[in-house]
Amino acid sequence: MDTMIFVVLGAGLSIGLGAIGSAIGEGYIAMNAIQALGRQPGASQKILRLMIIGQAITETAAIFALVMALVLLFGTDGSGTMKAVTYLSAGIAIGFGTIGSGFGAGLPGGSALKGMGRNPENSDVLTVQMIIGQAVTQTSTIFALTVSLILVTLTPEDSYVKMFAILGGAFAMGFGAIGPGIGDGIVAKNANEAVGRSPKHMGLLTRTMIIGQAITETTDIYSLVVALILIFVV
Amino acid sequence: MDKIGKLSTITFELFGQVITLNSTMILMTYIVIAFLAISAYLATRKLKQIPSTGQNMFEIIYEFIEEITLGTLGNKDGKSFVPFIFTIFVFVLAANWIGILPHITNFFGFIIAIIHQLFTGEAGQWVVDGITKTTFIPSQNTFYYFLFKFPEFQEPTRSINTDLALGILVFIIVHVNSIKKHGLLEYFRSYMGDIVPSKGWWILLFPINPFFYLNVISEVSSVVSHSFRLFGNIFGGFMILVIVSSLVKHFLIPVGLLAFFGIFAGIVQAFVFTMLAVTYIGQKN
Repeated sequence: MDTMIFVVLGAGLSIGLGAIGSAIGEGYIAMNAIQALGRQPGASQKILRLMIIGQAITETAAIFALVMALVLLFGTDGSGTMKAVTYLSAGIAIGFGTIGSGFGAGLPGGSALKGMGRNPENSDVLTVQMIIGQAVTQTSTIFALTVSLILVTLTPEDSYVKMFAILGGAFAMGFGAIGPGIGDGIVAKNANEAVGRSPKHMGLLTRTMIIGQAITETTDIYSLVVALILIFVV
Repeated sequence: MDKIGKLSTITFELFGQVITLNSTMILMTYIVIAFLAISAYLATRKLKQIPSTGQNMFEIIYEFIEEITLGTLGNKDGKSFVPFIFTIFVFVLAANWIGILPHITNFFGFIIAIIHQLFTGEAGQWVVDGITKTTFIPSQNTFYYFLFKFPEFQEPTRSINTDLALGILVFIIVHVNSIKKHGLLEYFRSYMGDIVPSKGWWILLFPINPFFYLNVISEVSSVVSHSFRLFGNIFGGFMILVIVSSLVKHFLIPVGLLAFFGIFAGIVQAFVFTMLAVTYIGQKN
């Protein structure tokens, strides 16, 4: 079978699915930026700056998907059925894996801008809080990127069980990353809203947010462990 | 496009193990270290009440980092971490930004070679390739040929080894600080979850406690996510730059991409890496 068929399919799945989440997240940030501008037209500089930083970090998920698509299209030279399956699996893992945290990273950005609309003086506190929230939200995408980079470089032995184990690992990581991405985003969104209301308690709120996100991410770690077992052990 | 798979490596044998070093990345890391050391020395040599440009620049960054660190860790605990956090930030920032420098030794080499060629005609030869493409290939016998052998500037953070080293460094600092502050027993108790009473000999049951293993895995995976976040962003920016540049024949568009992925993403990711390091320290403090 021609390896290229699976390479192009994997690249299409990777960026096609990977663009969904980030686009919605960035739109949410821009919506809140416009509402904040309507309330505080005087602080347009600060609002615009926060919007651009937030959107750039939200874009990370889509950039990961784009990079994997480009790696698959231009950087692969393996051949054979097993190699073809690993390429397709890499596309599936990163494609589904970016949906959740692309959307999730938009939520804290949006609520940070909502807080700016309330009081533009809190700009520094909100920026730091938003960046921490978004960075932790992206953990699930980073696990998906790790798994797909492993898959691209892997040369598995030739058997039907292994083939489906690799596909299963990709699905485990891809689907497993959707929920934690959105869940982390919800946690960070509400933490950001709380910081916007009482910026003095930022330390306490950040700590609580990180603990909450770490527990939300537990299911993502289950998926990562199962995916690695399926890829390496089975 | 041939840049992607190319690595210059040094291989040697030590105690029966074959060790491969990525020589370009090591060179780049030392260039970053030398740049930071020299500029920090020059900026702090004569400290003044009204700061000069160099001192001012360092003071802005230092005060910014100090404010964030003290805000997260508190005035008492945070004080001793500020130099470490500052070093991490400056190193990652310089490492992310070194990639935007042009291949300067090659450029000067070509200028010298072409002037040499105009006067003597022995510096190399012009190769006409197709209709529009003409390349100059310098001769290897000239004394300045070493200029062409220098590698171009690459971000050390583009290699996963640098990022993992930084991530593991932060991990060690976080846990050593936690053990030093709370004692080994209290430290272990924080891995037990809520099903274990906070006092007594229950601590010895940790091998059969499922929460223990789960917490250990989540700690280790935080190192992975911390380092791969930096790696993925810098490596991703590099891949997009190389592939798009070769698709548009290096015309104009890569400049804008370099501004976004080189300068902007470089500073944002350095800040994210530093902030997460502070947060991890504060979480276990």
